[in-house]
Amino acid sequence: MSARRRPATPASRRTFLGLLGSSALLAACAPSIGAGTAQEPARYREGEYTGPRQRLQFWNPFTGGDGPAMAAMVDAFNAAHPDIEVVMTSLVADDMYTKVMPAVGAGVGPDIAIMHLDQLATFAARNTLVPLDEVVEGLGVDGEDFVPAAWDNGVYRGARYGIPLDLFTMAQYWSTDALASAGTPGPVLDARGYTETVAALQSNGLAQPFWVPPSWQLFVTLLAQFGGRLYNPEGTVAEMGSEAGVQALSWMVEQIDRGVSPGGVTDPRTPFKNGTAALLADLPAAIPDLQLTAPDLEWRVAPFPQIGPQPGVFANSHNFVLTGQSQRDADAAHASQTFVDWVSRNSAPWIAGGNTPARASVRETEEFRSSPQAALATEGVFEVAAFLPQIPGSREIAGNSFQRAVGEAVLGGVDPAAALAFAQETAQAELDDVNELLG
Amino acid sequence: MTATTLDRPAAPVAEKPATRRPPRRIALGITLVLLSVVFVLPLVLMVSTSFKSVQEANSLTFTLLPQQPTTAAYTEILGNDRLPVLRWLGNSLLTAVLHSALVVVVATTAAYALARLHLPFRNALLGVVLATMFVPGVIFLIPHFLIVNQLGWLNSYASLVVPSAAGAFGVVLVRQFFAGIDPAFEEAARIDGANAWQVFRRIMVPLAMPAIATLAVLAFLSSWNDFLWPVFVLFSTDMLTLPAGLAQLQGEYASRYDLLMAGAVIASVPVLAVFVFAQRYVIEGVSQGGVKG
Amino acid sequence: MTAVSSTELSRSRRDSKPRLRRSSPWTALAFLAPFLVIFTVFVIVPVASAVWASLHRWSLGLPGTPWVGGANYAELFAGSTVMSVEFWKGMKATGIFTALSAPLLITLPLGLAMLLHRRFPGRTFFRALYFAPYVLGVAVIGLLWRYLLDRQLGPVNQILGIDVAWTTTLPAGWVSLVVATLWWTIGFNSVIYLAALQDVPKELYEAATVDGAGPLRRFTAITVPGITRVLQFVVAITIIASANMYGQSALITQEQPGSDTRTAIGYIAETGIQGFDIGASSAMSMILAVTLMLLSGIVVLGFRKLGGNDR
Repeated sequence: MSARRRPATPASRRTFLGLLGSSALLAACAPSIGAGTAQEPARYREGEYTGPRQRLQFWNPFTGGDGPAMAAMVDAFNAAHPDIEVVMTSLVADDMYTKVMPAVGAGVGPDIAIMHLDQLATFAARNTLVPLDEVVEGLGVDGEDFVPAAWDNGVYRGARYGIPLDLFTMAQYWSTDALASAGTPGPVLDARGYTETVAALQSNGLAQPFWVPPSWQLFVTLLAQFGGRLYNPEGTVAEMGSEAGVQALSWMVEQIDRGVSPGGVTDPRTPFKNGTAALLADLPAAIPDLQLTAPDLEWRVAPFPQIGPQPGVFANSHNFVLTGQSQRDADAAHASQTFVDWVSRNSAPWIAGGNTPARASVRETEEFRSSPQAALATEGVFEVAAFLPQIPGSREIAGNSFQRAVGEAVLGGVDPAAALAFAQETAQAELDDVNELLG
Repeated sequence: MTATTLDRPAAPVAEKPATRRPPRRIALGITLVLLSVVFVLPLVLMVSTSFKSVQEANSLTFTLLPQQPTTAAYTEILGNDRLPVLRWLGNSLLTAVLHSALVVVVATTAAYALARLHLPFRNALLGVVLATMFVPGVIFLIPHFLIVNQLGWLNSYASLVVPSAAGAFGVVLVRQFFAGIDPAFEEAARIDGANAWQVFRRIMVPLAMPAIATLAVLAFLSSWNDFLWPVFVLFSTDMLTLPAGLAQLQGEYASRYDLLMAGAVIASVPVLAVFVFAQRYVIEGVSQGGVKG
Repeated sequence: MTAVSSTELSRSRRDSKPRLRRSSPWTALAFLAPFLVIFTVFVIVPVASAVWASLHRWSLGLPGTPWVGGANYAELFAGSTVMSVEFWKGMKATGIFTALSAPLLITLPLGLAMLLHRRFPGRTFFRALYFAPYVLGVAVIGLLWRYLLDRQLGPVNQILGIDVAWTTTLPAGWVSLVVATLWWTIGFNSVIYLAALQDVPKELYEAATVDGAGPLRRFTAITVPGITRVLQFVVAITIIASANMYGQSALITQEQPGSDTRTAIGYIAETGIQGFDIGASSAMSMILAVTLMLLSGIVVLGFRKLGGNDR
């Protein structure tokens, strides 16, 4: 910073033009942002990877009680594969889905990720993911071992993008003590059973036995039971505002109006844990949480009761995916394939996460049969599982349509029919937009 | 154009009544003390809770000080390599310093050219730069994200250092200062054979130090305080800045206030320490930015 | 904000004329080059691309980006989609926060500055103390106030013996956000005022006191006119800063209840960066930006009408 430095070379025309040139180059880059190039399918590579040590990034949304189970599987894989080091990053799901596309584009994202089944189309359409058809064929994974609905839903526009790790469905939890002392031991099976159980619990001194949060998974469950669906199977027409939709959402609101549930519920687990409520509608993710944070509570879990005229239950699945980044060279691609194949076949530790393994061979183990969620893994449940269809931008559309409608109706007192009509209109407009942009 | 010294004696008129009327003086004293409590108490609670045990931090009865002080929260947070708070602190300091340095270099060189050097359409260019001062920052959010994405700068220090470095404010601030410097200084140097760069480095920059310091402080603080941008452009845990990292901490330990406050203390101590020593310059920088800007 | 007055522009032009002959335009351009590179890529290109994007339907990563003209704007203004409803809800949240916080952030720091303008022992210390929260940054402030205001575990409710859901209900949520912001940034505006107060000639106060002017009269007749320019600056930056509020609502209220304290800029970031909807979010940015420019214009005009002398 002193004034005594060698005289700087006078700025020349050449320096200036050089600087200007680099500026123009930077500027020229900018307008070309947008569509990526279509991904080549991942090629199958023979056998397990051996060779120069590969470091792979693995992202998943397991920030809750399921995180340690996945970490244990990754550790086991790393121990068994000295040539591969898998680094696991767990991100809050919203964060992960925000960051994964730009991160993969920049080469700083994951090679392998776990995504929810309904997110595959979003990232397949944006060329973040690579098709896995050749890989699963080479590995001899043909869906035989998997829950059919979960397996079949991993396809978007004729290409497979996901290999299911598990599946999870809407469940009922009940406090065994509370229901037994009310004289109506669980589980609740149907609408009549529900009414009787609630009445018995209330007359036994539990004023508000079932707290209803704005759970869109509960709404999708009821929607299926009343005979409706969110979209047509092609994902081109929004149908959530149907009569079935209104019945489903009205049922949820009714529980609040009738005083079975207080209003303004955002966290139904806490009252269940401390005995203020005796019934809980939740996903299997609640299992490790209840085990950890309410060790003294006696509870059981079963499929969500059939409230509507037909059976049906919300279902989703965590899927392994490979990103474009994993295909940067043959070694990385081979190592990534090795990881997915090995963890998928050795997914028994995943049972501790509370979900149902997608592979029948893992479900047949004693470890799974003795787990609480075994009650949810019946053929009957698998048959009526309502998965969300593969729609690019599904979560955005969901957030702006039916998820918001459920919130507005349950928390904000908006009329279910009006909320759903607005939701359907919005979803339709956004579906049309997406389909237009897909070309 | 001279820099105002903040610590010069205050207006005699303002002080006279105070000395003449003791009750007013007492009222002033009480006000100051009460205000100080308002400003200090939250910080005391932050430190105090960080030394509480999990059970005590989750207690429903209030205690100002921990009954059984423990450093468990600090051990837990510093021992968790998924939450590298010290690394976040380093990232924040590094990017704020680099951003500040870049702003200073970019603004002073441009300001010199715009104040003193011959250039066709110089005033037109100045006009364009000035006009961008009135463009609200929100316009840049999405385009910056796209450009940084395109440049492959996502999740990098460059994404924090460069994009907002060409603000019009800095150029205008320094240019105004340069414009007020007596041209005779430069004339003399030119006659001695100095070229434009030497004049800039040896004459103009030293003379403009007050403005440059102001700019450096403001640029540092704006980078240090930035929240929206790093939350969206940084991905990996080891690249996060403190604001983004603390947000992640809160996301994962929603009601572990012992841990959250320990994280907040770790994030606060270094910057408060720097502030204690450099408060005059920081405050002067901020106030000059306002008065001269 | 009102950085260079026209007289000044012309003065520097006049002053520098004799020297200009000696330097080549390339020298000037070389000095300008670093600035121009960054300015082009990160200021000019973004402004142009924001306008361009707002006129297209553009979902990041999808192949089609058709020109839709004003359709993005039309949809937002029609208010007939969830996105437009949520956007205007965000604009309303931004407006509420600005309307609640800006007046306090403009007036209270002036009071504090006048207090600190007196001469008393430890004055520098108090000034630094009141400024200190600012350097902690929004994340620390967010975590801290989230704790202080926690319904069950927070000291505010515990000390006062009340049960207020500060972060999950309205209007308590707004009180939380405004108080935390006030605590965080009051020192920033105060030191700017303080420097301005010190530039007001003392003789004016003496003369006024001799003339028998009371404190209020001295304030309105001398202090306020003496700091008009700075006052205008503070008003402008405070409104802009309040309108850009994001961190506090992300950390303290976490946009609750529902998404009622999600600000416009928060929704723009969510739509564009999380939802990849570049077209719609760019149109939202433009609407917010134009609103803010109009507001700044009103501030400038307002001060001109008030007879604020431009020095």
